[in-house]
Formats: sequence, structure tokens, C-alpha cells
Amino acid sequence: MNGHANENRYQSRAFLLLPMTGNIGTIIGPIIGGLLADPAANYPSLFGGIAWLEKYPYAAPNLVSAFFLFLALLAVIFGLDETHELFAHKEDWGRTLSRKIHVKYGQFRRKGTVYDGYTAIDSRPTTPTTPMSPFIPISPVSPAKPPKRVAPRYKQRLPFRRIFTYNVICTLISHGLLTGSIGTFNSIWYSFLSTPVYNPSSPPSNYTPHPPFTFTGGIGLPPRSVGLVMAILGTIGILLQLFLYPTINQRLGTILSWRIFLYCFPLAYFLSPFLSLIPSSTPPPSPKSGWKIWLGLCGVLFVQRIGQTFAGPATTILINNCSPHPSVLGTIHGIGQSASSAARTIGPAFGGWLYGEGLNIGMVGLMFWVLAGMSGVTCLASNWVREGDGHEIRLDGDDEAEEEADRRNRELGFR
Amino acid sequence: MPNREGNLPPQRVEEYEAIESDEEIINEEAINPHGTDYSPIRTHHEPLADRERRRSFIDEEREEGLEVEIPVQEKEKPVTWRDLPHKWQLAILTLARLAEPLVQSSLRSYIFYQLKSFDESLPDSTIASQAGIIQGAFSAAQLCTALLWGRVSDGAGRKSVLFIGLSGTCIACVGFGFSKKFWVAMIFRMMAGAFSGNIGVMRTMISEIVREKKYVQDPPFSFKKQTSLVVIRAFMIKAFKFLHVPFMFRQRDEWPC
Repeated sequence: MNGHANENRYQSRAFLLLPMTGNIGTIIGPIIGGLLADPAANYPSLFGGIAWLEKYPYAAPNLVSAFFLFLALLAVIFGLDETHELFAHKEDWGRTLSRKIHVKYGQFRRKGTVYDGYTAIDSRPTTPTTPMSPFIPISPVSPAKPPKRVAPRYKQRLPFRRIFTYNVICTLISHGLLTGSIGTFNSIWYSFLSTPVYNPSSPPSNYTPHPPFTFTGGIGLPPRSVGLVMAILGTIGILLQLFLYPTINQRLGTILSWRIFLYCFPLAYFLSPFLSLIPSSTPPPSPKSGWKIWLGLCGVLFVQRIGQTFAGPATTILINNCSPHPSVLGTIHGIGQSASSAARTIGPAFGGWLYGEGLNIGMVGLMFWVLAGMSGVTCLASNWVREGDGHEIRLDGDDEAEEEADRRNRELGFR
Repeated sequence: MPNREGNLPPQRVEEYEAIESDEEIINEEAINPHGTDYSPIRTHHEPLADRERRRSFIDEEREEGLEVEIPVQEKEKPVTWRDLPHKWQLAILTLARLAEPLVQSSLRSYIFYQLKSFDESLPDSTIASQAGIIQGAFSAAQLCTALLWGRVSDGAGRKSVLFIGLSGTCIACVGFGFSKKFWVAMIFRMMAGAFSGNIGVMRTMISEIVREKKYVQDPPFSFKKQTSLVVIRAFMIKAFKFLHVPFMFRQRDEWPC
């Protein structure tokens, strides 16, 4: 909707990183869990006699997970810079320490190019410094920080009650509806696949199916083969995210691509229950099989996955840009996270219940169609959402802060 | 302005020149009737004052056109994954984010058996509902704390929140591995949920790391720099109107109070 948001060319890629790691985590997580659960029983020759592994059989995968978390923690302490402008220039012992180590290491190796401090001075075109030699060791006590573009320091913080502007509320509502419907679909999808196939020779009491809408029965697939399909589709999703999404986002803009790909959801949800009407190559009590059912299954999942892959990052970008003031950006993301976990708590519980009710009255598609309606509402609601610029409300002193930041950036040699 | 009568003669000269050029145009057109190469002003015969106004108006438009062009050309330079700024910072955040779903999904693969190992006598249906309760406890705790973490990160810095969150999740993870009772396991999962509300903080940090010079004062919600999108947009509007989608592209600036 405006120049600001389109100006940020990196957002579409940067915000893909998080959902992508989520995908990777869900692919390799079960492998770790499956390999390491109960090692004393599974690998008696290796871990047989170890008492604590026998007493706590599920400690091993958790310890490995904790180890991963600990690595991430170390990386955060020693590698990550504070991004909040009011705190970015304070003393950070982790970063200082790692810089000291870096400098020491560089001294030891006698390779000037790895010095942080030198790149810092080099990148300032206007500083008339003494001639630089890479072999003059920089003082290891206070290694220089590389200069960074300065962001404005907004002195005033937007009060909590003023956060909820019209656009914030619209964005949060559509975000909640979207994550709720995705979470609900993912949970009832498995139930639907493992629900036994409808058997006309032994129907439930006083029940007659009336297609097109009154029919029942699932697919009866074993979860293992479904897991395989989901993994393949997950990989396709990652590839789409890596190569297709940024281009599309750049061509259409975030909000337009979001609105377009939202239409994938009602389509996929509406069509999914009809999978149970596809004729199977084997008679009813056995699971459905044959190329037709797999084609239908993959088609529906593919449409749903495309929507999920493309709408997810767009929602994050929209939430980020609907923030009314930079001083409450973290709060906005926190509210977004709360909204999505609320939807993810309520959605599957309600979905499971309604799916069961639908099976009881002989309408397997009931919950799916409710979901389709819900995502249709999301599509409509998306028309009220517009892409903000992250600074909708201007407080006193904002202009001064921005001028100050501009001035300092010019001093630092940034454009 | 009566006190500036001294400036009148040069103005008159200009006018005179303009009239002369006007005649020239007419002559040119007489010679070359297919004079469509010229700018639209020249081919029309209008009163002088009107023409002056038009010309300045068009000049303004041209200037604006230049303003439009520059950012569009900048934008056309394709951004690749390699162009992302501060790659190490992004990599660290990605690592921090990877750890959490890893824990979640590895847990999902054995939670049924772990709960079963707490009490072998329980039926499978109870175990299944217990697994559901544990998952629900996790997201409920996350729901309660995510907003608070976001608020704290705005007031006390992002890195400290990430530090607290990751160490808390780490401890909760170890505790869950060594728990022997259902309620102990549930408390540790709730603890993990409460501390993992910092996904929002990570998103905030990513947005702040890749922030470009966004804060330049600019009239909000102008359609100025969108020329490259106009064609696609017009096409899309037609498509959506064809689909009878109401309220498309409607804008409201404020909450109607």
C-alpha cells in the first residue's frame, strides 16, 4: 500500500527463515526422537548396563534436544547483537568477550584481515586515520565495534491501549482465523485418513448416504504411508519457499500475494472430504488404494500446502508491518504469537469434537466445510487488512529522533 | 503586484518570445502536417495563459515522474538470498528457532510411550488424552506468556529475553526427560511453553536486522511509488471483480470511533 513496505526488499526472504526452520525441525525431529528413545532397550549391546538410562529411558532424546538448545544459547550469548535501538549500544559482556577472543585469535594467527576492528575503520570513508597496517595489533582490552547503521531512538513508548488500531485488529483477526483453520485441518486430516472406509454392506443403523453432501467414511490409510506423503510435500514446500515465494512476493507485493493464496484454503478444505467418494480399486473394508485416490490426495494436499507455504510468511510480514509504532514491535509480535497459540489450542479441540459429531450423523465432511467457511471468511476479512508501514502513529519527538539518526548515519558514512 | 512594475519589461519580452514561437509552430505545422513527434502542447492552439499553465503543470508531472522512476529502477535489481544483510546474525537466530520445533516434533514421536512408561496400567485411551493434555498445556502456557515476552522485549531489550527463554526451555527439556510422573512432566512442558513464547521476539529481531532505511518521512499510504505494480494490480482488480469479491482494496485509515 505504500512505499515503505515495498522498500524493504529483504523482508520476504528473511521472514521465510523461521517457517523454514520449522519445516526442517519437523522433518529431522522425529528421526532424533525415534532413534534415541529408550536406548537401553533398543540397543542393549551399546547401552545395556547403564543404570540411569534404564531408569529414565526417555532422558536421552531430551538431553540431545537440550544440547541443541544449549548450543543455540551459546550462539545467542556470544554471537547475537542486540537489535533494540535503546539497548544496542550498552555493554554486552558476551559480545565483548567473543570479540576479544576473536582479536586474540587473529593476533595468534597474524592475519590482519580477520580483525574486526580494521574492517570497522575501513568502512568509514571519511575518517582520516593513521596509515593502517594489518600488523599493528589493536588494543585487545577494548576491541572496537564495527559501526552499524543507527536506527532512530524513539524516546516515547506507545501506550498499550493505543496499540490496537483498526488495522492491527483486522490483521490479528485474520491471522488468528488463518492459523486456527490450518491447525484444525492438520489435526483432523490425520483422523480423516485413518477413519475406516464406508462399508455399504454393513452401514450404521438407519442411515442412507445422499451424495453430494451426506456421505461418510474416511480413507483408512495406515499413518506410515501418509507420513511419507507429508514429508515429500514438506520438502516441496521448502523448495517453493526458497525459490518461488520471494519472486512472487516481489512481483505482486505482500498483501496481494497473500490475498490470492488465501483462496487455496477454502478450495482445499471444501474438496478434501470428497476424497472418500473416489472409487477404490479394492472393496470397501480394506483401505482405499489405486492411482485415483493418490492423485486426489496429493492434489488436495498440494493446494493446501501451497496456501500454507505462501500465506504463512506473508502473515508474519503483515503483522510486522501493522505495528503502529517501532517501540511496540516486540509487543505486536507477542500478541500475534498469543493469538496463534490461542487459535491452535481451541481449533483442534473444537475440530476434533465436530468431526466426531459429523461422523455420528453420517456427514464426514461437516467439519471440513465449516473450515472451508472459516477460511472463506478469512479471505473476505483479508480485504480489510492493509499493509502498514510499521509507524502508523507518530508520537512527539519521533521526527527529532529520525533526524538525529539520519545525521549520525551521515557521519558514519552511510547513505 | 504594483510595487514590482520594474520587472514588467522582461516578462513582456518573454511573452513576446512565446508568441513568436507560437507562430513558428503554426508555420511548422503548415510545413509538416504530420507533426506528431512534438509534445502535445505544440499541436494544440490554446490561449497563451492557459498554455503556460499547462506547460508548468506538465513540467511538474514530469518531475514527479522522475521521482517515481528512481525507486522503481532501484527495486528492479533482484534481491537474492546472498544479498541478505548480517548473515551471521540471521544464522544464529535461525539456529535458535530450529532448536524449538526440533524438541517439539521429536517429543511427539515418543510421548505416547513415555506416558505409558509412567504408569503401565493405564489404558491407551487415557494415555492418548494425557498426550493431548500435555500438548494443550504447552500451547496454553505459550498463549499466556507470549504477549508478556513481547512487552518485556520492548522494555528491556531483545537479547535478554531470548537468553532467558532459551535457558528456560533448556532446563524444562532436561526436566521433562527425567520426570517419572504425569503431573511432573506436564509442569515441565508448561514451563517449556511459557519460556518458548519468544518466537515473536525472534521475529522482531529478524525484522530489525533486515531493516532498511524505512523511517524516512513520507506521506503514508500514497500510491506514488507503485507504478511498476499498476499494470498487474489493474489486471488483478478486474479478475477479482469478475469473481465478485466485495470490498477489495478498500482502505480505512483509522478505527471509526
